[in-house]
Amino acid sequence: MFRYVLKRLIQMIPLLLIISFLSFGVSKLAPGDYLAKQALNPHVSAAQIEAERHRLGLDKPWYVQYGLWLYHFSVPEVQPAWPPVTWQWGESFTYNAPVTVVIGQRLGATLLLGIAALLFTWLIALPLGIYSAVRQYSFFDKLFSAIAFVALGIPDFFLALVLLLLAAQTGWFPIGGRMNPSMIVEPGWKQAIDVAWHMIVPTIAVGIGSIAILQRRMRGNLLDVLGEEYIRTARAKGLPEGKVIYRHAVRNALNPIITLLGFELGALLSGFALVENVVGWPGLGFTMLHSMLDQDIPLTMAGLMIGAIMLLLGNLAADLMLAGADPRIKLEA
Amino acid sequence: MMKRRSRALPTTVIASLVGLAGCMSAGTSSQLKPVSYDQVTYRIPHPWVEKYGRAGHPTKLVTAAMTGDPKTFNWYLEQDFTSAYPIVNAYDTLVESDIRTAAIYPGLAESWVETPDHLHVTFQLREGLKWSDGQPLTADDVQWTYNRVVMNPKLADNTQVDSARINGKFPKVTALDARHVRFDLPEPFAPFYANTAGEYILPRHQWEKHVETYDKSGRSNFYQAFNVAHDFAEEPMVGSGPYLPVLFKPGEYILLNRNPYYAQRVDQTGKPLPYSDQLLFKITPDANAESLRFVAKEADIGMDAQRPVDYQTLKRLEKVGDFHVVNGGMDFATTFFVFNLNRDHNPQHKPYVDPLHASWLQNVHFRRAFSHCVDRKAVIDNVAFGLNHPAYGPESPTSPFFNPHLPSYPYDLDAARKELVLGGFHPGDKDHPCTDAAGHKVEVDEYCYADNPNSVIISNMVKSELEKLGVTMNVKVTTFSTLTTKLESTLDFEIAIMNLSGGPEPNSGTNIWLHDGRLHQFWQRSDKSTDKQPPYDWETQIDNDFKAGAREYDFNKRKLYYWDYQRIVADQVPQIYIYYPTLFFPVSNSVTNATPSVMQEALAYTGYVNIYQLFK
Repeated sequence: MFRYVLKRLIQMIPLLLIISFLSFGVSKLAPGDYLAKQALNPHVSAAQIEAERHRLGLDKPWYVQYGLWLYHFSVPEVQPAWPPVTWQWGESFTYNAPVTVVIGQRLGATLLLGIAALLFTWLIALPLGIYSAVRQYSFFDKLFSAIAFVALGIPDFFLALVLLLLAAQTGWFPIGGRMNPSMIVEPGWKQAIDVAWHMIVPTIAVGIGSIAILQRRMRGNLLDVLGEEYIRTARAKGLPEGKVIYRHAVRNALNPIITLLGFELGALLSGFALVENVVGWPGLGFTMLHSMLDQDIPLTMAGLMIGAIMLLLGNLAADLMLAGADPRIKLEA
Repeated sequence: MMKRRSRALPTTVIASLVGLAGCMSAGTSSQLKPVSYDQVTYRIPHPWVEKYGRAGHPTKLVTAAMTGDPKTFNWYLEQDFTSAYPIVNAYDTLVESDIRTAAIYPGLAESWVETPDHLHVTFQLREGLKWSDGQPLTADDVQWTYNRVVMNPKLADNTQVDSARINGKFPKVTALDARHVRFDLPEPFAPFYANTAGEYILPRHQWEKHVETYDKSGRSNFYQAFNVAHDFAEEPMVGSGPYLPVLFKPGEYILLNRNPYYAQRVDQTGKPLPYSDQLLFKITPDANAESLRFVAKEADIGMDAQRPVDYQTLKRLEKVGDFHVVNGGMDFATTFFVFNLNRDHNPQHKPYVDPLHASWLQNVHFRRAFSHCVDRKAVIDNVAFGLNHPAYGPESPTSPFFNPHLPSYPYDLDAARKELVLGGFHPGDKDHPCTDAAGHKVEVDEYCYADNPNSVIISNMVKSELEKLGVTMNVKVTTFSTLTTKLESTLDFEIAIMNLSGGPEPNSGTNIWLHDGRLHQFWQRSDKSTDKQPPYDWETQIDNDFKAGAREYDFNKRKLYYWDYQRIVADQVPQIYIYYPTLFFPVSNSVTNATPSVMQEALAYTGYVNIYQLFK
C-alpha cells in the first residue's frame, strides 16, 4: 500500500513536467506579453519597457523562459530568517510579491467553499439517487428527475445572481462576501457562524448542478445493479430488502461514483471561478482569471499546476478508496 | 471499521471547516480601532477652510463599493483605479487643484513665491505639519520624495516621473530649511503647478529603508514595498492625508482609519475634517453584484463609474433601494479612428502603407468624408444607450481648455459625397464602387480589437455607411496587444480604432501631439524607419502650439494656443473622434457631500473629490 502510493507519487513527476511544458507552450502562443499593454502607457518609455522585459526574461526564447520558470517554481528560496527555506514559485509580475503569498491569501476561501459544496452535493445527491432507484417511476422519482433536468440547464453563475437578487429583495442572506467586516472584533465562533451564513448562496449555486448530475448517476448505477442476477438471488434467499439494497446493491453501484469523486477533488480549487466572481467570494478564481488575461506567467502557471496536482491526487485518492470499497481491486506496487 | 470512519467523517470535516473559518480571520482588533472624532485634538495654526459642500457632523463609518482588488499600496506604482482608491487619501501634495475651476490652491504648502522669470519657485510649508505617527513633516521629506523617488533613475518607471519632467529635463529640488523648499526649473513651464498637484509627498523615515536597499538582482526593494502582501499591523502605513489603510482582506475589503494628526483642513464652521472615523472599501468582483449592494443598503458610495448598461439597471433600482445615481460629468477618455499618414519607409526601404492606399489616406477630403460617415448619434444609442456625447475634437468639453468653435462633421452622406468629389474621387453607391482620380477602386483596411466589443460594433456601423458611397472598408478584428504592436512598432496599418485616457491639463497630451511623441499614432516616428520625410506643416504648427502653451502663464493667452491645436486637428482630421463617455456613480441617500467628478482624473483616477467631507 505504502509502496503503491509512493510509486504513484513518483510517476506524477514526469506527468507534471509534461503538463507544465504543454501549458507553458500554449500560453506562449497568445500574442503579446505581460508588458504589451504598457506600450500605450505614456508614463513608461520604450527603453524602460525593454529593460523590464529583459529583467523578467521575456526577451528570451520560450524554451529558456520555460527553464527559468521551472527553476523558480521548483527551487526554494533560502534565507537567513525563519523559516530558512520557503517556496515562492517565482514572483508575480502584477503584484510584485511571491506567487505563494498571492495564492495563499486566497486559497483558504476557495478550499472552504469547495469542501462545503462537496459535502452539500454528496450528502443530498446520494440519498436522493438511491431513493429514486429503489422507488423507480414513483411520484417523487419523477419529481426529482424533473428538478434535476431544470437544475442542469441553469448555469451556476446565473443561479448565483438570481439568488443574490432574492437575497437583496428579502434580506435573508448577505450580498456576497465571506464575512461581515464588523465581525473582525468578535470571537471566533461568531465569525464562523457569519461565514457559514455567507456561504449559503455560493454553496447552493455551485452545488445544485452537481447534485442533479450525481443524483442521476447514482440512480442509473443502482438500477443497473438491481437488475443483476445476484440481487435476484439475494432476494430469493430471503434476505431482508434493506440488507439487499444497502449491503449489496448500493456498495456495488458506488464504484463509478467514487471515480467521479476523484475528479471532483481535482476541481476543488479550480471549479468555482464564475460563482466566486458573482458572489464576491474571495477565492482564487478571479485572481487566476486576471492573471491569465494579463499574461502574468508565474501566477498563471502556479494556478494551472495546482489544478493539475489536485487532479492527480484526486485520482490517486479515488483509486485508494475504490480498493477499500471493492475487495476485487488490488493495489499493486 | 470502514463504516465507522465514514460516519465520523462529516463531523470532523465540519469541525475543521469551523476552525478554518476562524483562523482565516484572526484579527488584531486593538490596532484596528480608530481615533474617534472627539479625541482628535491636534490643530495647526492656519488650516485650509473648505469652500464647498455642507458642514457636517461626526460619523462612525462610510462604506464604499469597488470592483476588483488593488494590485499595490505603493502610490508611485499604482496604475489602475482600484489600486488608487485606498491610498489616494493617504498622502498630500504641495498644492492642489480646484476640481471646479482647475485653479491652484494651497496643500501642504501654504504659500509660494516665484521669481519674475518663473525659474525659481520657493514653497513655504504649513506650520506644525505632522505625519500620522506624530513625526514632523518637513521640507526634507519633500526634497527626498522628489530626488530619491520621483526623479530617481533607478525607479524610472514610477508613475509620476513624467509629470515631474519639464520638456525632458528635471527641476532641481532643494530644502532650504524645515519649512522651505526651492524648485529650480530648467525653463518656464506653465503646467508646473498642475503637475505638482499630482505628486504626493512620502515620509522619508518610512520609505528610505525601502528605496535605498536592494535585492539580489540589484533591484530596489521599493518595488516590493507595500505590495498586496504587506502586513499593516507589522508596519503601519505612515501618511499625511485624512485616511490610511490599516487592514486588507484580499477579495473582501480594505479598512481605513482616520489619521489622528490630520489638521490641514477644517470645515466652514472651523471643525476638523474628516468627519468619519473609518472608511470601508468593500470589494465586489462583479459589477452586477455591486449594484445589488446598493439595493441591500450595504454601501454608501460606489467608487467605479457605471457602464451605460448598468446605469439603466441602477435607475430602475433607485426606487427599490435608498440611493440615487449621480452624474460625474463628461470624461476625458476618447474613442477615435486613427489614419496612418506615415510617409517614412520601413527598415526594408518599403513604404509602411501601400502608396496607392496612402494617397487616399493622406487626402484630407477623404478623411473629412469618412468623418461625415460616422453617425455619432446612432453609435452612442447603440453602444451607450444614448448616454455619451458626440465628439469632434481631442479635448473633452469638461476641460477648461476646450475649444467650443470647432468645425464639426455631422452625419451627412451628401456632405461626404461632396468632400469625396473635392478630393478628386468619384463617389459611387451600394452597387457602384467609389474610384479615385486614376480610376482605382477605393478599398481600405481597418483594425478593431475584440477585447473592446464596442470597437467592433462602431467599425461595422461605419463600414455600412461607407458602403453607401461605394467605399469598401475591410474590418479586421484583432486583439488589443496585436493592435498596439501595429500602432507602436510595426506601423503596418491603414485605419484603426483606439481609446486613450486624458485629463484636464492639455500639456499631458504632448506625447500624443508632438510629431515625435511616443503616442503620435497617425505618424509614429521610429528609429528603425528609413527615407525619413519632414513632418506635415500642420504637424509643425501643433508642435509650436504645445511648446508655446507650456511657456505661457496667463490662462487666457495660454488657452488660445490649445484652441489653435484643436482647430488644426478638427480641420486636418488625422484622428476622428467619436464620443466622450458620461460617468455615473451610485450614492446612498443617507450620505451627504458625495461629489464624484471626472476632474479628479488629474489625480490618476475618476471618483469622489472630497472623501474627507462625507458624513451620514
